Amino acid sequence: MPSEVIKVSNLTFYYRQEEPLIDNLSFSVFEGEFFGILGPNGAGKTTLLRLILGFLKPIKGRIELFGQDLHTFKEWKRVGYVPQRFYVERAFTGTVGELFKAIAPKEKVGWIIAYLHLEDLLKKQFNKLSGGQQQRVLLALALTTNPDLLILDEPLTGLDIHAQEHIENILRDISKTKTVVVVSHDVSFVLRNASRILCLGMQECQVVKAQELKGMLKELYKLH
Amino acid sequence: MILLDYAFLWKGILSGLLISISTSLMGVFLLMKRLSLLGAGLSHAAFGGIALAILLGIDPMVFTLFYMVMSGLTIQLLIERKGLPADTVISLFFSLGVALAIIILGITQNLGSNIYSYLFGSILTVSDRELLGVLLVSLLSLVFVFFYYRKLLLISFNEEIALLRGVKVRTLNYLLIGIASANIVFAIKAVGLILASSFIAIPPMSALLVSTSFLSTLVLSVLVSFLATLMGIFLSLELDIPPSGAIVLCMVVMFLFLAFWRLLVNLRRRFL
Repeated sequence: MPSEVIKVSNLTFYYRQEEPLIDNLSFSVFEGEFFGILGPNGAGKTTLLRLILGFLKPIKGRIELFGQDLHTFKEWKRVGYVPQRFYVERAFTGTVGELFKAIAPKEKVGWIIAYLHLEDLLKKQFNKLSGGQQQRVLLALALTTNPDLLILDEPLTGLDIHAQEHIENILRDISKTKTVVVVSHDVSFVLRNASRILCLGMQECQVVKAQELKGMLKELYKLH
Repeated sequence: MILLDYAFLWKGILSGLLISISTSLMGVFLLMKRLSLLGAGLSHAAFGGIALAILLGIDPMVFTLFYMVMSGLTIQLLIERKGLPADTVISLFFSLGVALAIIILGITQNLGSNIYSYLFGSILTVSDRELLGVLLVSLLSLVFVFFYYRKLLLISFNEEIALLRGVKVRTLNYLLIGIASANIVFAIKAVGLILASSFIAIPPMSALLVSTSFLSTLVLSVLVSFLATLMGIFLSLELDIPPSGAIVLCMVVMFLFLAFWRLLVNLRRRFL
């Protein structure tokens, strides 16, 4: 049985006590898995990621990364994170090259620049790139430490079809060697790639196998 | 230009140039963190601090420095811990400072002339102690940016990515706000509390129009601020006009020039 990369136990979180966003949630993500988190807007997908990454503190419950409690977890180099590209500061004037220099020494980022074909973008300002190019740069920044776990928040939002296909192919390739957790509201993208899916924002949050969810959706489609 | 034979003028010019460099540097990071209003908010908050210091007979420079740094750190604390919008918190301190000053001015009789120099600045009457203060704050700002350049760049890009890469985001944010607040105190001496925020806001905004990288934004911001201060002081001496107004006017002219330049470049790209 593969080891647990993320283990969430009885997690509860709310911004206002009367409206719990995440209520007593438990699930695990296993090594080598492509794990999807689906849900409508406001279901708590990004909040869940921010809890797993330690940016928010749970009200109740426990989160473990690589078998260690999040409070004492120090091996953040094993975790790569791709935020929504809309969360990047709009006034930021830095170039892609400056970002790589800031994040790691040149010899450590060379491979990832070549892997994602970013050589031509190094002198360009991040905020002047297209959506697809920005997403590739964010992905590359997350991969600079060669992490075991890659977490992505809405990686396809706002991209055109070609850019979506390109990013999806890269993620599929990366998932051969890394555990990938993707938050998305794009059902078809998650169904195509994830082996198991956590559905948030339903009456009972639960993890289902992608095949099961596909079957459930087909049944629902037939009914209507 | 015979006036330049006077030592007091050189002290004023030197302090103006030093503060122009460090405020414009800090301003770039504040702009990228959407905290440009901090300059306007804190300089007006200082109004209350200055009035209080004069009323109590405490050294205004020392007291205002303390008052401003504490106000700046409290603003950051409220934004970070309580999740309050930055502009709301800053306007709270803005209003508090001005309200305090109005009350103190109302209940005392002879503060008017003292307050006047803080309202409109008096760059050409800088004392040795004030010059030393400017020198120390400017040096601190330069050292801070030099040592933490890469980390500040990452924070300006995305705080969450910076956090995961081991950057002490909270500490650096507090240091940035604290040092920026100290800079504003000396900008008040140069151009007065009404115009002090120009040093924080206009040069970085001008740089943003034409910069092609993060480093060039910093360099251009410093250049705009430095040149505007130099030109402003010399214009004020030549035309016998207040230096504070002349400096800020030069900044605005440079901003408009760069905006026009950018417009021309964009038009050329589109049609030629």
